Amino acid sequence: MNVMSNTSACILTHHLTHQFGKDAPVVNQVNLEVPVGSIYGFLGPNGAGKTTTMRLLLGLLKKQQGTIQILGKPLDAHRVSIMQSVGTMIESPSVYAHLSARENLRILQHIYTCKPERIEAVLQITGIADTGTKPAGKFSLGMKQRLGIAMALLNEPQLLILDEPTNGLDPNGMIEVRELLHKLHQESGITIFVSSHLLSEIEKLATHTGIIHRGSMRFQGSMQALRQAQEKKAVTSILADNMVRAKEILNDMHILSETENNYITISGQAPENIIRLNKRLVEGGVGIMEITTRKHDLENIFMNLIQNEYANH
Amino acid sequence: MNMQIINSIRAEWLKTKHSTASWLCLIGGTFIPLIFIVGLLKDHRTIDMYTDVPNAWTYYFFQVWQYMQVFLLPMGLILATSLITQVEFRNNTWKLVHTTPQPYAHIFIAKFIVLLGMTLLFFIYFNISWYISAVVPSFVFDGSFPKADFPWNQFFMSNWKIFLTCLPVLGLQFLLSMHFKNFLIAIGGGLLLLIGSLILAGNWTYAYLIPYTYPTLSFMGDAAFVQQIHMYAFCAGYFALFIAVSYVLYSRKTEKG
Repeated sequence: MNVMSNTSACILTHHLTHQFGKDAPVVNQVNLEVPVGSIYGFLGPNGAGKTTTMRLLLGLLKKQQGTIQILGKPLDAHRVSIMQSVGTMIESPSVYAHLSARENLRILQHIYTCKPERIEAVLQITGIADTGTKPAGKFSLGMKQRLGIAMALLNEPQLLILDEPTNGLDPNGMIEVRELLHKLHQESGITIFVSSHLLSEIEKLATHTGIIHRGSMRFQGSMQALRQAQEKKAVTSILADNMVRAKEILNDMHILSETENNYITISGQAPENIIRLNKRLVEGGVGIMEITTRKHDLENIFMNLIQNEYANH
Repeated sequence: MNMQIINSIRAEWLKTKHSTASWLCLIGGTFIPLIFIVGLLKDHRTIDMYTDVPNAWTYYFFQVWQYMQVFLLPMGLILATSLITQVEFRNNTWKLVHTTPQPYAHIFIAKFIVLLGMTLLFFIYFNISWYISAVVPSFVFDGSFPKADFPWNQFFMSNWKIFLTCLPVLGLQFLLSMHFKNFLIAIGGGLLLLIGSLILAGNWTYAYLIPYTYPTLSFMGDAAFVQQIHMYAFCAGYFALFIAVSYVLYSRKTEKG
């Protein structure tokens, strides 16, 4: 697992573990490290332990083992002051169905003691300013989701914790939410911790990612680090007229190779290395009949990670 | 009381806006007095015609209250407490409430104060509509207010005592509604206790141990018995016990949404 520096972590957990009853732990020894100013995509298949981890982070579940620090303070002792600077939306949006969007926001405005002008501001940001007195119970799922995000933004949080914010939205709604989060991140430098089971969503949105499966972290680091892992797993196949000579040249270049189905295969080579290799083979009198590189896309890497292949990276 | 808890109470009070509980409170509080207005107007009577009692106001007050006190008031409390307290379960908003910057104690106190406030509002609606029901027929038929002096002290003391008899019902219903997600447990349990207490109140010596019997015992009007069993002390004791247990259960919940 990649390890990040904890000097500027917005969320930091140490050996966080939780189990329901006598079942196997749903969250097992999770060490989260969410850098300040990042969009951290918390990725994992359904039932991986994402929501349980997020509920632990927010104090909705009583912590059993491990430590949680948010915004530099331990959650146990500073829950109230931490929550003053955190905006949340866990699972489906929590709205009072008999009240309008403005009335829902006014409830939170009393608690956060923020300026009344913030209500109109977040309604504008999320595009639901024209809902008037319509009760939130009559909103479409997309509008409820927007109201949930508006409620999370009301207190101008330093940290936004969102659990599957695009869940149930149509493709257009998903793009709008993603753009909204990008905009918030760019304009106010807010740290966003967002969970999803959709790799494509996280790939388009996040600067950092943590991958969880069966309660354990399988990867944590920047998206760049994940993409480097993708390159390392690229496999290049070479078909030449003189395979023996080609292998000799590869040995001279200290490149490990294997022979598979009449092809020489090498792995983990960056594109510039492949160009250099091709040139050397041609200069060495080897006729290249075919040279192809098959990259592992992120989906493949994700699948490999959750099947333990990368567990010890 | 600091500003933080006042803000919590304001937020909780806002949740009752347009709610079924607020309508129940209004309709429940005015229902019986409105029936009396209709009855008095239809029979061409005013409360000045209650000549066989020393104070027409007091007589009329208890005449109207008797219909409320035994069944409608406890029944209304059972329903209203469930509606007010279960607003978070119904809307799946406990997780929102518990991720706001409020100490758990403030959340609990704010919810309970709003419940007491709604009960108080119910009493205010009842008393205002009761007063209107006494005055309107006099205006219509005599063109004047009822003649007897208004017994302010007795009026407030009677209201206060009836309110005290409601406290054990409020306390236990609050406990059930806060603890169980399924509203049928709170409403069903409350109704069973209410019906049980109605049956036992006149038939069992120790019925006063059941927390839902006090509105009935108060209605039965045996002042000596009420004093002998220290009924109001039982009301306060049960109320304190239920609220304390409710807070312990709430604060020790391992899943808060």
